[in-house]
Amino acid sequence: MSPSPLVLLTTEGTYPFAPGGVTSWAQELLKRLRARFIVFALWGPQQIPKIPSLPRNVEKVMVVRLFSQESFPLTLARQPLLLEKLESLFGFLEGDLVAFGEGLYGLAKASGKASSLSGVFLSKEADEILRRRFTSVLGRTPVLAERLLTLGQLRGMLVNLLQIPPVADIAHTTVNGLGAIPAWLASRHYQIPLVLTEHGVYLRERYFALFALNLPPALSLFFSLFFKNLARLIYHEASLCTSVSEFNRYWQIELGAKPEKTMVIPNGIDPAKFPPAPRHLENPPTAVWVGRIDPLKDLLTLVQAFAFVHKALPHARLRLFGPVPQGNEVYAQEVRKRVEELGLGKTVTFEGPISPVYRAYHTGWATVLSSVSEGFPYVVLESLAVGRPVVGTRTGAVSEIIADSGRVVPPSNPEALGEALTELLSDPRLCLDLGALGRERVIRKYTLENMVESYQKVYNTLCESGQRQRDELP
Amino acid sequence: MSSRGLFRSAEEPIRNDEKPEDSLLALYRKTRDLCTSAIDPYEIAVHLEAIGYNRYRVQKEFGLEGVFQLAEKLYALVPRDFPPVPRGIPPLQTARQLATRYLVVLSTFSAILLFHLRGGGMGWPVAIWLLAWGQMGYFLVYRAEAELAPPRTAEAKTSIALLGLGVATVLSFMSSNPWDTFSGSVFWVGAIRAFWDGRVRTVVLSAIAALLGAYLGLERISLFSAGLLSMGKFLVRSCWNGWQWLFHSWPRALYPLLYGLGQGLFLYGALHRLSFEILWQIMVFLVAWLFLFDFALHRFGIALNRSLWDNTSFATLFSRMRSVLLLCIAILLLPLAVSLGLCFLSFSAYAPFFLSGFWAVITGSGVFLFSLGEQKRPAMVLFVAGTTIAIFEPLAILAGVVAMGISLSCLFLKLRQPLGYGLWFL
Repeated sequence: MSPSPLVLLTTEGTYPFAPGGVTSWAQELLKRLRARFIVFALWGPQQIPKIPSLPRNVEKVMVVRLFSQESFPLTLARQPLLLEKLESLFGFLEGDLVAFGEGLYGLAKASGKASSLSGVFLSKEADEILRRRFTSVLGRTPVLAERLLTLGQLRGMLVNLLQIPPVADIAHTTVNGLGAIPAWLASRHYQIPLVLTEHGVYLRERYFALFALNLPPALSLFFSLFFKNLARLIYHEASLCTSVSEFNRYWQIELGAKPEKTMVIPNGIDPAKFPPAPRHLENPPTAVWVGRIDPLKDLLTLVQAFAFVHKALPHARLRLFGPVPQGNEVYAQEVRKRVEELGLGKTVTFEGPISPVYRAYHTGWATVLSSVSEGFPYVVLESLAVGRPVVGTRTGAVSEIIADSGRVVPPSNPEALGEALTELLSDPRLCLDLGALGRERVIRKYTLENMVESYQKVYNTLCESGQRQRDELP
Repeated sequence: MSSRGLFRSAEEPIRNDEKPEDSLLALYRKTRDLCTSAIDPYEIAVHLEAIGYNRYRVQKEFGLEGVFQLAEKLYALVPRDFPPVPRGIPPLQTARQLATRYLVVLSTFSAILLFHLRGGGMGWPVAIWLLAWGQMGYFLVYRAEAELAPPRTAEAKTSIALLGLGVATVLSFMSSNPWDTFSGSVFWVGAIRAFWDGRVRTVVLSAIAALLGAYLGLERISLFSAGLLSMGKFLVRSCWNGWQWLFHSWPRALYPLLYGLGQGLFLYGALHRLSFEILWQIMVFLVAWLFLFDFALHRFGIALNRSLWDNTSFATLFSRMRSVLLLCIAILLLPLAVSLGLCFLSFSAYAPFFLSGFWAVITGSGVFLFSLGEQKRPAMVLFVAGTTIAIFEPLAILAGVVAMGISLSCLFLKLRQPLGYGLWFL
């Protein structure tokens, strides 16, 4: 066995291109682990951003474009083998994971030989298969438009993705969605261990997205079945499912992961990068929010909550630090409008991105997180690391991280959030004490060192067991 | 009616007049929209968590094991159907809207033509730029309306208009008759800017004012004023946000820009030696033909939409659309047929007509392909052909024939696949 294993790390819309929790995690982890990496990154049709400098042990970055605008095939050659595999892939409609897996693997293997998977997805025969298989699930025959949309979406997702990735010792996926498919294919093809690390539960976020997209109901049904069974397949076949919180682990087990194959490895940060905030608090009492402006962060509830704070503490301030990602402009405007409507124009300020980020936490008495969905938010860790308490919503790992160093309230509940913020912002002593507890807790439990050590153990153990399995094969 | 699908088992539906007797029904009332639209119990579970239910609260309030069990209970309360919901095509323009659009184009076009006939004249480089900018602008405005919210949409539109005007101004003052060209450009950009906002009355009034002014011999001032009038207050409503958006978005409109440039260069190569008397006849014929063709495409869209949302097969889809498609193709080839007829009468005099027949077929195929989501090929074909014809005049007929052949073959290949164009329309 090679002393430093070669790991195929798959990502989806995150590392190494987009900033965020997964990218921070991967950046810190990759450069510290004793392993070599091939990064297999899934990206959408939008322009690929410039790749930032990568750790030396990243040997290659392979990018797969989903929904890329390729031309439609010019011929409609019938390919019985591919159609047979496509039929098998539709097994997910009835929850048949074996057939589903066979379909995915068969198409990936065959795509190396046949030139046009694309043509198969958009063929008359594929339409016939879909019509037959989906009718029994939908309770009626799907109309042509629904079938076209379904086949088109499926094609956009899978055509470029279904290929056997390069050989590696371990396949490690950072997501249990489309990004898990290449890792699973590598694991099956080369008989190597498959590790899954979930930051947020992909399926949960998929449900939020399906709800927001307001797709035709038949499509929502089709794709919810697809993603649910994909998640089940990966949970079932992964050698180890790690997650960043007990909350995620609860979902993993519900969806079919064996409890003994699950493990919580919390994220960690380098405390040296987060110097402690001053041991005194300057007036006015200030709450700080850090993140990207996004509906999942539920800033409307936060603003509403701050109206309650404003009534009790008219001089209190709320400072919002973070960018407005492309596509969220309307939401950002809605938030600003709500601020104006509530007469908080001088109290709530939009500060934009800040670097280094610890400066944002230093300006406040406490940090607030109002999200309706979270995985393992770095914001909470970072704020506690500088010694500022957090008022957060009970989502993902938030309550696990905050524990007794802040306040946890139900999501989408402005009254409760406002009450907790008022409590902290009216008592500077309490803020300092909770903050000190938080810093001590982060240094003890959530360090980068602990995280890296845990993953190194996982890799070493899996490499040994994988090698044993391969040795035992005839 | 309840769905009979395997996945859709449901107990008796909750009646509206039923009173909540226990906490489950109370929760159902609170989350009715979610419960009726959810396609899976997990979807309900996710949203329950988002409103503050966790396993401890569920155990305490409902005596159930956790959120998943609660979601299943709620899911089972409502029967579900999945009726097909038509979407996508409905915002198709009505025949009246199409007619209005062409009335606007014709009135603006007539004002400029009259201006030319009265002795003015717009330099070809500016005319080509305005044609290309018009194509790019139409596409960018469509993107802006999809991506931005008011007032940023208006800012983006004004920035696009000012870009067009800026380049046209520079080119105008490099041409032989700068003031004529400049005032014509202001009028054209102003009319298009008003058209983007659907201010049809403003455009028609401006065009009439411009026509009257031109008739009275005040071409420059009337076109300039009519342009400013059309632009109105929007002339000053550009801001940094609009320019930023334009800076990031213009590469996405590259193919429409090339398409417009190709059209302009093609027409220049074919027609620049003609007198205005013949030129305006050709132009009016081509605009009228484009109107007809757009109308046929409109019918094609409606036929396609109906077939897609019926319970049809591929074969039915084909047969239902065949007649509409044949009509489209016939109209597409009409200008070529006319030019061929004229060519038989006198080839040397009517070579420009012959070339405009090619232009029409290539442009029409491009419009068709654009409406089916294909941009790259028609844009490249027209751009390459236009450049060739503008630079190498002796090759004009050959280039026209080759480009027309490529355009038609691209179109027919696309039309062979209903899945392809069906998807785009959706």
